[in-house]
Amino acid sequence: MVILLAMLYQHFSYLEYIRGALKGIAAVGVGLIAGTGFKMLKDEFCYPPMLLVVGLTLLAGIYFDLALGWVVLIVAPVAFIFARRKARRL
Amino acid sequence: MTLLISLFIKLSLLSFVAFGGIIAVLPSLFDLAVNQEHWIDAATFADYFAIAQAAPGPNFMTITLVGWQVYGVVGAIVASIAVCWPSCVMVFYLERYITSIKDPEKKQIIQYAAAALAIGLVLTSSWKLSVGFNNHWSEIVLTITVLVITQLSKIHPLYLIALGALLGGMGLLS
Repeated sequence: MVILLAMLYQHFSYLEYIRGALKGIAAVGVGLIAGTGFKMLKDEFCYPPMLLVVGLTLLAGIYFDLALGWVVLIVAPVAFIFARRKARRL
Repeated sequence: MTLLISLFIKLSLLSFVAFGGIIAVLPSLFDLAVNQEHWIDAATFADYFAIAQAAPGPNFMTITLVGWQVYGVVGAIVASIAVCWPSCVMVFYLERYITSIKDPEKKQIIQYAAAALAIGLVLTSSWKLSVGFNNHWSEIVLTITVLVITQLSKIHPLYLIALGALLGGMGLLS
């Protein structure tokens, strides 16, 4: 079905309202992804130090613009240290 | 044929670090497909992302469409397999490993660490996609509005997608 939609897109992508509609869907799609992230984030407030792990991931991924593999390699050890503390605390 | 093999290997490697799901991989896929390999231009990638969001099915449909762009239907199939098999193999062995752990605290540590990492990666991905796709302030406003709505209500995403299509189709986002 998705390929069918893509074929339709190739035929009608010159139409202004199709391009506009896709822009709108993309903007909503990004909002939905961010929404998923924020919903998951709520669970981390039960042990706030875990938010540092999330923050470190954001710092590595956005500010330093590191590749995904490097972000995982750098943040994972820190995540395990804090996760160990969280498991003992809760 | 070389292109097809390249597609398979590069997407498979990407899938190995897909902590946080395919969503977390999308900015890396964007970088790979648009900036490094020039398989697709940025605007078409954004449109394929939108089509994948609007169509029913799993989240990796954007990758299927990139494969389709590169090598037709065969490319779509190869891209879909390439992005699935590493995660499937890893999840299989990780699940076996986690099940074999007898200490419940160790299991929890893995769960907590993976969750925090996944959240960070999903949020990073959404930020990068927003920067990449939203070229006009009205699109940024729509993204933020959707983010707020998803936090405050349980409205079905399909309605929000329809709203986005409607607003965009009416030319209100440019």
